[in-house]
Amino acid sequence: MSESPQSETQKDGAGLPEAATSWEPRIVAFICNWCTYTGADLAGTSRMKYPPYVRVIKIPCTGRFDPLFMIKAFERGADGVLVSGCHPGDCHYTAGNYNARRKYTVFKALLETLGMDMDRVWFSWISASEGGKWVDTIRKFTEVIQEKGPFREYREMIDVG
Amino acid sequence: MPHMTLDRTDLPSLAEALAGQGRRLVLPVREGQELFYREGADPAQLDLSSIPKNSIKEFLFPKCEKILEYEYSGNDVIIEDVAPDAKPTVIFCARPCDAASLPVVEPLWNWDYKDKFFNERREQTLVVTYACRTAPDEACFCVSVGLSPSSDQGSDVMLYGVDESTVAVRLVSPKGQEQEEVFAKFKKGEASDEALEGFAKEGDESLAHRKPLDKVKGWLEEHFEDPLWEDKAFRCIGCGTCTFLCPTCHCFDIQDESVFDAGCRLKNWDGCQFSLFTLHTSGHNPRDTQPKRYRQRIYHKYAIYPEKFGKTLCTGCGRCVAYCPVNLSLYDVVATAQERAEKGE
Amino acid sequence: MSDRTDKIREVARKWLADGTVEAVVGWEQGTYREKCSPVLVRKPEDADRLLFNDRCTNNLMTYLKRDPVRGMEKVGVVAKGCDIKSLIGLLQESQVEREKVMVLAVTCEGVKKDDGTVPIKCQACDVNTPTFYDEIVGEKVASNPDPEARFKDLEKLDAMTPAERNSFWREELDKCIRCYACRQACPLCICSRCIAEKNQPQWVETSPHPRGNFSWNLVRAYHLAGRCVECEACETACPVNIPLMLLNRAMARTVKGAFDYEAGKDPEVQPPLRTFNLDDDNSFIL
Repeated sequence: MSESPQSETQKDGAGLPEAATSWEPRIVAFICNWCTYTGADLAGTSRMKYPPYVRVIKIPCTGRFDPLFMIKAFERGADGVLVSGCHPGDCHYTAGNYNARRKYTVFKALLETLGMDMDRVWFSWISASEGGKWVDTIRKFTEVIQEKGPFREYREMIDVG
Repeated sequence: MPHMTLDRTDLPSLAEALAGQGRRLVLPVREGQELFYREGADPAQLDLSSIPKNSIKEFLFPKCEKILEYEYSGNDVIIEDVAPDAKPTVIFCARPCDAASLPVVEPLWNWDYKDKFFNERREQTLVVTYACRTAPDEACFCVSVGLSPSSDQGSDVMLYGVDESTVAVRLVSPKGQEQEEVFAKFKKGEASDEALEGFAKEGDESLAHRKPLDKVKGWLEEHFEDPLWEDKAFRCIGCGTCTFLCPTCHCFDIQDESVFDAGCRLKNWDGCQFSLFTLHTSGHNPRDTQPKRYRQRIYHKYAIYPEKFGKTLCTGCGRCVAYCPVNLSLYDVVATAQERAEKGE
Repeated sequence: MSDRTDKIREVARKWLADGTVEAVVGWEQGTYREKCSPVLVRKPEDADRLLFNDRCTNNLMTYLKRDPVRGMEKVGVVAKGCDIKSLIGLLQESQVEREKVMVLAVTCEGVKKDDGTVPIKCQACDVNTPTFYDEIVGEKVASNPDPEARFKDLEKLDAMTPAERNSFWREELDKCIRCYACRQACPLCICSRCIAEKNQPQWVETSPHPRGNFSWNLVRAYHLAGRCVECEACETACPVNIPLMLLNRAMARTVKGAFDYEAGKDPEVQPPLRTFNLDDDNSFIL
C-alpha cells in the first residue's frame, strides 16, 4: 500500500473499478418521498430515458434535509448535489418545504461566501406527476457536471495527506 | 571563551543558509497584530519584536498526523504502518521557553513506548534560539519554573541580540557545533562571556517580580478539594486555547476515518479542558465540571508530571495567560497556591 | 465609568443581601494588561469585586448555559446592550426562563479590543443604552451607529471570484485546530452535545484536516445563521485568528436581505429559520 487507499478510492470513484480509468459524473439527489421520488418513479414506469449518473437518496420531506447531507455527499466524492421536493403548497406535511426553502436560502449564501462552485448545487420542486421534469432536470444537471468535470476543488480537501 | 558575533541584518541570510542544506525553515513572522512561527515563510519577514502566539510544538507534534492505514479484505483487515513524515528542519529564532519545552516533553514521548513520530522529528530538528533580552511580554514567567529569558535548554544554538545591530552566537549542542561553518560565514566580530552574562542578568532582572513556584507541588498535594478551584475556574469556558497554544501540552486523540472499506488512523491534538476528554461510554464523567477540568490541568503540570518525570510541565511562556479569552491566568492560580503554601494555609 | 462601577456594586450588593438573586455574574479586574475577567459573586461583601470599564469585553450570557449558573433559582447578570441581544436570543429559543434572570444593564460607549482598537460591533452599536433590563445603571448614551461598519469587511469577499473566495477560506480554515473555542465562547451555541462531538453517525470529522475543518466551520456558521447577534466572542477567542465574523456577518446580511430580520431585537418574534412566508424567494429553485 504505497498510496493511501483512502485517497485512491475517493479520488477515482468510490469502489467503481471502471471509474479508475474514465471519470463519470457522480450526482447525488436528496429527494422527498411524496413528490419527487414518486415523480422519478413515474419517469421509470413511463420508460423515459435519462443519464444513469444520479444516485437517489430518499428523505421523508425536504424539511428533513440537513446541509450536512450535502457536505457528506461532497466529502464522499459527489460532483453535484440536487435537493428536490414538493412544490410550495403541496407538502405532505403542510409546511416542510417552506421551512426547507428558508434553509436553502441561508445555506446557499453560506456556500457562496465560502466560494463553493454553485453550479454543482441545485434545488428543484418536482411533483409526483412531473416525471418529465425529473428527466429534464437530471439531463441538464448531468450536462453541466459533464462539462465542468470532477469537483477537483473539493476532492483536494478529501486527501488527508 | 569569546563568541562570534554577526550583524542583525544578516539574520535572514543566515536563516536561508541553514535552510539551504535541505531543511524546511520555520521562523516567526507577523500576521496582523500577532507573530506566528510559520513554515516556509520569507526570511526577510523575520520578526523578533515579541513572542509568537503559537508554540513550536506543531513542528514536532503536528495537529493531525496519519499513523497507520487499513483496508478490509474479505474477513481480514490489512494494516500498514505509516512512516513519520519527518523532514530535516531548522526552527530559526525560537524563544527560549519554546526550545525548553522539548527536553520537558521528551521523557513523555519515550516513557513506556518510544514514539517514533516525535523522536524522528526531534532528531532532524535544529533549534536556533533567539534569547530574550528582557521579557517580551507581561505574561512571561519562565523564571518561576527554573528557566530564564536566556535559557539554553533544548537549544542547539543560542543567538543573543546584544545590541541593536549585533547578534552574538553560542553553539550549545554537538548538533549546533556541526553548523559552525555556516555561522562563521557571517562572522563580524567577537563577544565575551561577560557580555553574555550581562545580557542574561538583564533578562532575569526584567522578571524579578515573578515568584518561584517551588512550593506549588506540595500545596497541590494537600488541596485537591479547595474553594480556590471554583473561585478561579468559574470563568473557564472550556475553550482549550491554553492547551493548544501550550508548548508542553501533548494530549492527543485517536480517530479512525474510513471510506467504504479502507481508511486511516489519525492522531489529533486533544485537550483536558473538554468535557468529552474524560467522558466514559457509560455516560459517567469523572471530571464533570469545568473547575475540575481546570484543576486537572494545573495538577498535571505542577504535581503529576513532576512526580513522574521530575520536570514541571510548564516553561512559563505565558501564552495561557495572554490568550485566555476570559483572562483566567495560570500564573495567577499557581502564584496563589505558592503564596498560600508560604503562609502555611 | 467609576460611577457605573459604584452603582453596579450597589445594586449587586442589594440583590445579594435581600435574596433577590443567588449570585451575580459580572466583570472584575483581570491580571493581564488591562483585561477584565468574568467573576461570580455570591456574597454581598464580595460585590466590590465588580467593575465596569471599556475592557469589559466578555459576553457574560455564555455563563447562563453553564454550571453552576444554569442550576440557580435566580441569578443576576451585568450586561451591556450587545450582551442583552444574546439573552433575547436565548429567550426566543426558550433556553432561559426570563423570571430566573435579573438583568443589570449598563450603558456603554463602546469597548476596546486587547490591542486597543474599537470592535466593529461597537462602531455599529445601536444599543449603547439598553432597553431590555430589570435595572439599569449609567447615564444615557446616545447611539450613533455607523451604517457601513457592519458589512464593510464583506466587500473584499464580494469583490473576489468564487475561486478566489474558495482559496481564501481554504487558507484561513486550514489554520483551524478544532479546539472549538469559538463554540465555547458563543452564548448561543447551546447544544449540550455539539454535532461535532456526535459519532454515531459522525457527520463532522473531528480531525483538523482541510475536509474536517471545512465541514466544522460551515456547520458552525450555519447553525448560527439568523441567531448570531454579532457579539464577536468567537473571533476574539479563536487562538489561530480565523476571521469567523466574516462568515457570521455574511449570514446576518443574507438573513436581513431575505427575511428582513435582525437577531437579538425582540424576544417575542420568531427567529427566521423557525418560521416562513408563503412568498419567500423562490427564484433559485427550479
